[in-house]
Amino acid sequence: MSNRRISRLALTVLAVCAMIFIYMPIAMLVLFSFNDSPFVAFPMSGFTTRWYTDLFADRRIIGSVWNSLFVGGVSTAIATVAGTCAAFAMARVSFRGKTLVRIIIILPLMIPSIMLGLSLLSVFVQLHIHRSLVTVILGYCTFTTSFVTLVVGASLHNLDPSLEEAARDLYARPTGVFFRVTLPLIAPGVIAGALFAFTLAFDEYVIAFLNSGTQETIPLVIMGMMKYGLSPKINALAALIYAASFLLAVVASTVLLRRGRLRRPAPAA
Amino acid sequence: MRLLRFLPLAPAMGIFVCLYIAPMLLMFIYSFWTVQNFRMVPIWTLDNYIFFLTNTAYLRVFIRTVITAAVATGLALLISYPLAYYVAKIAKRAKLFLIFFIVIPFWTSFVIRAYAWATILGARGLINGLLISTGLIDEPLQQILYSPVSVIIGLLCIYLPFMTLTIYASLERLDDRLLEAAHDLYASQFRTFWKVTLPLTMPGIVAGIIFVFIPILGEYVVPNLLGGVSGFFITNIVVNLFGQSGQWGQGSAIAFVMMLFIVATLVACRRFINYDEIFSR
Repeated sequence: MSNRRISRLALTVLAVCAMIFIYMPIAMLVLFSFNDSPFVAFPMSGFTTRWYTDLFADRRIIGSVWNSLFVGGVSTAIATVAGTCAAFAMARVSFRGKTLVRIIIILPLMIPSIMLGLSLLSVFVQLHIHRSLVTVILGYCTFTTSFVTLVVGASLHNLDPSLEEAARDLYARPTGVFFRVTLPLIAPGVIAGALFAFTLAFDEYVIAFLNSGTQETIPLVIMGMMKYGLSPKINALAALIYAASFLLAVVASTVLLRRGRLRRPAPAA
Repeated sequence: MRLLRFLPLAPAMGIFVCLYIAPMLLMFIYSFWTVQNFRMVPIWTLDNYIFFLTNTAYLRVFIRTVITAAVATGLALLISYPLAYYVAKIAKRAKLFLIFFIVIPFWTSFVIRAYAWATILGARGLINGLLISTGLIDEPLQQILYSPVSVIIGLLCIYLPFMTLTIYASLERLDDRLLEAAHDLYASQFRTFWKVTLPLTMPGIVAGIIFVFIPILGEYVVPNLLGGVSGFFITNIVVNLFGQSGQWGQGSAIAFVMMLFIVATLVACRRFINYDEIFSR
């Protein structure tokens, strides 16, 4: 075998191992969610769907699913509007201090969520604000808005500016240009950004842990249940969330793949 | 009329100023205040910082956090580079499929994946189960879970895709003709990699290091779930100081020292990459 083929083979083996490493936890979760034993431990027993029926009978878990959907949905809605507007301003308006604004937009993604969560907690305690799902949503607005701004900004960057110019030449008002030309063209980016922001908010633990008061979201319930040991019910819940995330990812990637249609034309060679 | 142009920025800036800039300022001020009867009082002091910087137990945890993050980042780089290289240059038909499966984990919960590792590494988990059934050991190994090793494994699994994607992006941009040129000029495979591929993908590597190392420094869930007493991070101490002990001043001070370290890391990486290129594509 030639040198080239040996290194090729080695790379293939390594790539396969890496993918196994990434996906092993997921496989284990699903496997144990069907295991007929109250212990998440080897050796495995028979097959059962009992943990799934138990799951739907558990009001604490079902309640937390609704809470997570509520928190994720509201913060995503706020972030999508605020982020899309901000991305538009950043892409189309030139002003002094833009670098500073860009840093302000990016920081929530670089600051550890522990700091975002604790600093908000300080404010809520200082101002005697009752902690609930609403305060969690306030905590989520920051990093989800940053995220949407960056994703939509990338779509705006890829958009051919002459399309907007054409609309302006045909006497469309600025709002008309935005709503009837720009927004429909960047819609895939907006949708993808929103979906991703939603999953970030849906899964977030630290900010919710610090600022939710007595109300629980899914990650809080999972962490809470884990204190009393591993339970196949958590596996069932995790497997369902995984399936849902997987579907969402498929939808988002198909939406994103459609994006290439009206790109900025490549510069002439 | 000129101000009207900034109107689209207003909602986002309102959110940022009220919900993280102002709170961070308050926390910064707290780090110079004193706690009396479980309440922050405006008696200005440097004691919170002095307390942290002279407390060997806390400093040791801080150093352990940095080392653990560095080891996990290094391992992520070692695994990611070949994986990204395989996806970018070798896999042809499977390329989109592979990228899809590298991206999927971004959509799934950190808490759940950390939990999954607990079921693999635990006393009655997969690893021990395999070792016992093959007869290599009789009693389950207790020390796999709740140790720095399990923390590194958990972190690696979660943050690996970030590194793989940034390196993949830079490999994808690398012009294959340059590699052919090196080959035509009789450079060995190793020499081509060392002199052409590696330097040209350096921005991707540094970006990957930033996207893995910095989030790991602030990681709370994984060390909390998989770390136990010997593997917890400085963030766990900060949360405890805010929670049970009510030492908000000390907690804030440690958080800002951590923040300073993060900013310093970002500034140090400026020599190698252009941040504008990463964030404002």
